[in-house]
Amino acid sequence: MRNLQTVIKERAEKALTLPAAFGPDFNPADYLRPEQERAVPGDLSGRLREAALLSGYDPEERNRAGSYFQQDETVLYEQVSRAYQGMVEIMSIEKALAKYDWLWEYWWRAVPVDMDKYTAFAELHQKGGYFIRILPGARLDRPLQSCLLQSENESSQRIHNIIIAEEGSRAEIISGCTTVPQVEEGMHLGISEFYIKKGAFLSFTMVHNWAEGFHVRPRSGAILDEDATFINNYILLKPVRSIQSNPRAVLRGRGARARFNSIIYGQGDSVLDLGSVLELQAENTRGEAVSRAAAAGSSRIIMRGKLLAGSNTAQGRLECKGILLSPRAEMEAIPELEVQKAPRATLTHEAAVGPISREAVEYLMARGFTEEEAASLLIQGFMKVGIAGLPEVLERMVDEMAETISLGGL
Amino acid sequence: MRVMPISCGATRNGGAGMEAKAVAEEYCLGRDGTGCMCRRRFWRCCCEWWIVAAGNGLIYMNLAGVRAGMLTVEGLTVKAGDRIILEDISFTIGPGEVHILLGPNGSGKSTLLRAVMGMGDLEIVSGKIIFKGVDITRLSVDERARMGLGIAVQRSPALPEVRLGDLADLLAERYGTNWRSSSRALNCDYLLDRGLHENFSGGESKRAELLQLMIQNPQLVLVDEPESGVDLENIAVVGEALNSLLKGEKIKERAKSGLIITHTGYILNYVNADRGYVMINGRLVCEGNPRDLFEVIDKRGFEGCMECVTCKR
Repeated sequence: MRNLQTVIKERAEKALTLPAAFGPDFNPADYLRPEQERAVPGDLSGRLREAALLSGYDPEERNRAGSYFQQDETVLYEQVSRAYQGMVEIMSIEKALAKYDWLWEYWWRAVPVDMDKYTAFAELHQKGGYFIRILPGARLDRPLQSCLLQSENESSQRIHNIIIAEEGSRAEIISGCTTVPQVEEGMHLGISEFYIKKGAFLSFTMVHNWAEGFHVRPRSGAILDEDATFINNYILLKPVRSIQSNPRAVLRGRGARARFNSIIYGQGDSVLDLGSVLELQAENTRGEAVSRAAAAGSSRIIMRGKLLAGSNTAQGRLECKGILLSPRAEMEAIPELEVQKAPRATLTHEAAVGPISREAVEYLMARGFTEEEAASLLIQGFMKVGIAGLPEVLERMVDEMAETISLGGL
Repeated sequence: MRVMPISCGATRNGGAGMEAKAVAEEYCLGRDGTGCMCRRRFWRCCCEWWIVAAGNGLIYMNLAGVRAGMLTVEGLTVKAGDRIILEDISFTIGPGEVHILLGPNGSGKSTLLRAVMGMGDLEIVSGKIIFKGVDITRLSVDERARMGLGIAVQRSPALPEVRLGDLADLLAERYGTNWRSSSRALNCDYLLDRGLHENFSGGESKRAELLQLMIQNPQLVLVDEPESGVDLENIAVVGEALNSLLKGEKIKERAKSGLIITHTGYILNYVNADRGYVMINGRLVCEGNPRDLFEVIDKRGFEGCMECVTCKR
């Protein structure tokens, strides 16, 4: 094991200056703060609680099978609800690595450590992150939740999460990343590796709630075995300086299924470069990536999507749709389809970028809705349509977001 | 005896206007004004005189001064871009009256409906639109809708973002109506979970439009070609629904007024229309009994219609 860790560190060192393929470039070292300046961890009340709520985290843990809460670099909470003991494990990644030697086999397997300088930096300066393992055959009827909170200004989180859904298990995870209101600038590097074993089902919902001066570089990868299902929901409704993420799912087991849903709202000067890659390697694999984006203010949104088919019986579908809510906003949709020696594979894509339909707004106004009501109704629907099984908490967030939108700029 | 101000289907050549028999009796409130239907009948002649058939004698009443329509359009001229689409349009629709608008493609019929509703990029060059005594010429679409105007457009835009059922709920909340029975009657139940007008057939679209109008319950209903793109079976459903919308479900409820564009005239089999207009090149060139007008047009086309000596073209 020592050897493996050394190799990983070496690869990270070499990649430390390697820029990412996409997104604005910055130096992650600018957000590293010396130990003595760190804020004292709080408890889950007051402002922390408010921030947690905004990321879909329920501090009361009603209807939750287990929770993980990390403030900056400190783990405040890691617990499995009583009824779910023996079905799932939740703990900080440090604890898990100390407990399970075999976990190193999963470390940087779904995401390459030398992908770019952000993965490299996250490895070399990693602090915290969670380990969630749903035990074989365990079927959780309530979601697990996690919250990664940043409460220090001009600081960073370098997180590494590993989620293992063992054979035949079933679970839903709601994972929020958030800041307290006083925090304006910072960096978040979040590595998430998903291993979904034979016949397992995992739904993972990531809610991002950042501040306007944040650079965010999530790096996620999923490996799916036979008949495994992975649903990844991503939702971003708050302003941020830049986010670039392009999670990759490798469907290496036959009959595996993966779906990426993204709901993205760009505001202010946010630069959002978001996509997903689905590698449909095995027989009868199915992949879908559906994105909905709305660009307001001077935001810039790039929606990427890539499907790779390596089996004749693979099927994949991409759908990127965006609306522009301001004359200064920019949007790009970049769908890619690639078939590798599988001439009968079926890959499709649909992309559309445009303004909100004037005709549709007027149609609703003729029913008595004001212009604002009509627009918000359309945006609410637009952001949710085609995204199946959106958790209720997200539906509410989207509805609230849509109510705040005005079409003043158009 | 009080006479509610209405204008009914007079013809220009009808002398005393006897042939332009109207639904006027519904608007006679009786001596005590309690709303009972008296047996007297009213017809209107070509001038503003009303003929009241009372017993053996005829009494003439001048209602010119008291006529206040549900909708009055006065000298309306409308431009779209640089082009004049409607020119000097004037007419009045009284409470409970249904008027029919006929005319060839591109004559400006839909523009007139849209102008009354305040939709589209239209410029009102001159004239007024008065609804229930209020000048609405400069009001926005939603303000007009909230005052009691409702429209079913000919080709509805697809709104995949909004499910019909959700919209029905929102409208019901706003207008305080119950819509489940209307949805059943219009055979809309299976459409409720679908995005509005998204891949709807012609008949489905019209039924969905009528469902919304029934919930909205407007006092003046503007309908653009209810039969277009609808098969025969659906025409009956649409026709009957439109008729029940116009009549109102409750006896006490005042019947609604309507302005309906029709191409085929099928809708006349379902709706009791009082008056018809022919529009050609943005002008109302003729008015009269809608059935008579339609008969001429059906036989001789608009070409033949325009040869008529009374044509104001």
